[in-house]
Amino acid sequence: MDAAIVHEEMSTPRALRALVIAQLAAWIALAPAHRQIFGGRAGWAPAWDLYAELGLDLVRARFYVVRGDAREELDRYAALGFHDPRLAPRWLRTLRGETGALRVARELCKRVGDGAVIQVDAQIATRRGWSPIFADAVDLCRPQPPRALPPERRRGR
Amino acid sequence: MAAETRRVRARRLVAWIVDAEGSTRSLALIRIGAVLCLWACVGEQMHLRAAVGPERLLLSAVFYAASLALLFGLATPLAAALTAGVLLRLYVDAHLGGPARAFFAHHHQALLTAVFVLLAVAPAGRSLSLDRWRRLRREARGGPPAPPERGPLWPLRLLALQASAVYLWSAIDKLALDFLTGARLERIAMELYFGSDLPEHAAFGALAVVSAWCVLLLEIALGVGLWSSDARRWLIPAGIALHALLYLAVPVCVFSALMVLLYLAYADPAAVDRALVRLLPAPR
Repeated sequence: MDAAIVHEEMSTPRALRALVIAQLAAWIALAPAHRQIFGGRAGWAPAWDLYAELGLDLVRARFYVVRGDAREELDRYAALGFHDPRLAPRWLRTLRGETGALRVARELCKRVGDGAVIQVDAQIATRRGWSPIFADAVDLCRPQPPRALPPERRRGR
Repeated sequence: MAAETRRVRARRLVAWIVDAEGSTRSLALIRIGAVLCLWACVGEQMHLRAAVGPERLLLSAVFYAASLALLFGLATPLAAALTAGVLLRLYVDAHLGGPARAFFAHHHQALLTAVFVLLAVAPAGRSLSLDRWRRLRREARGGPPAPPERGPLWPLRLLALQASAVYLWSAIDKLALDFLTGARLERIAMELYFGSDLPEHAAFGALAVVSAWCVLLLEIALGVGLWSSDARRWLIPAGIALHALLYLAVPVCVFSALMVLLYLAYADPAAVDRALVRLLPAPR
């Protein structure tokens, strides 16, 4: 504080200046609380939550084919004819949400043929970390019942 | 006695914020750097060919005229006010779902808007500006003496507070299970690099957890510690390294550059002045 000049008296211009500074400082320091603490959705309030939503809903998954008593892991690229994953379409490289995982499962079902069962060991990115999906699904080749979206999966604040 | 000491300290703190004056060169450097960041960030979207309708055309014209004048420090207070006005207009439009949402809804643009609003209330044209050059020329021709390159430092304090707010609110956001377990960094890495094929090696998971905690602790340290001249010596290199890494790894646009630029706001303006004199001696 070496550059400071201590004023003992509070003149009107100084008081006004202090008021303006206090208001700007309060806005800078406290306005993000609207969205980040109180869960407000007003866009005018800044929120410094950089990249907090990037990658939400992404799925990491291992697919399995079950024939009789044998459960074998499937390389989804090789099974669908893409021996170089870099040449595979985006929906196969990046599984987004249950829909994305189901799309891959459907394609795998077509390839493995009738009678085979496709299962998945999958986790989806949520605000609380990795959350299992289709844990109770016996066969992804059959239609899946609709699922409720838990609160941590909703976007925005 | 203790109460008296507290009162004196409080008065000194108020004076340090409200009354302190010093060199305006730090502000001038921030002004120049911020305009360059602004152009890098939204220059293309504000191009006249991207303007749809008369209001957007006017906004683009004012944006370029005012920011160009601000870069060179010509009619700086007016130029800064107009630039801040355009950015506020875009900010409000973007956050109310208007057309600017397509290109002005990112964090670095909110930070740029805040920086230019603060520059609009700062004596940002008293140094390294055409305004200064004109006044010196007038003085040389026998006119009134050019004002000294000094001004109130409270805008610098607020710019520093803005940078600290970014770090600390960002740290608060990271106090969440998904970040602390490394899951958030993993999904960001998946989104940007790996797709759904995250490396399964245990070391990768451990790296995500260690990186998450390092980033969190560093952000808290930067938000608080940059106010201390002793801590700044090691925090500034650490902060620059963090932002360089962010810039290389994540599409942050000008966010990294802007945050590093704002480190100037924490520094003692007299020290910045001395550094400039050392860096820019008379030609030999």
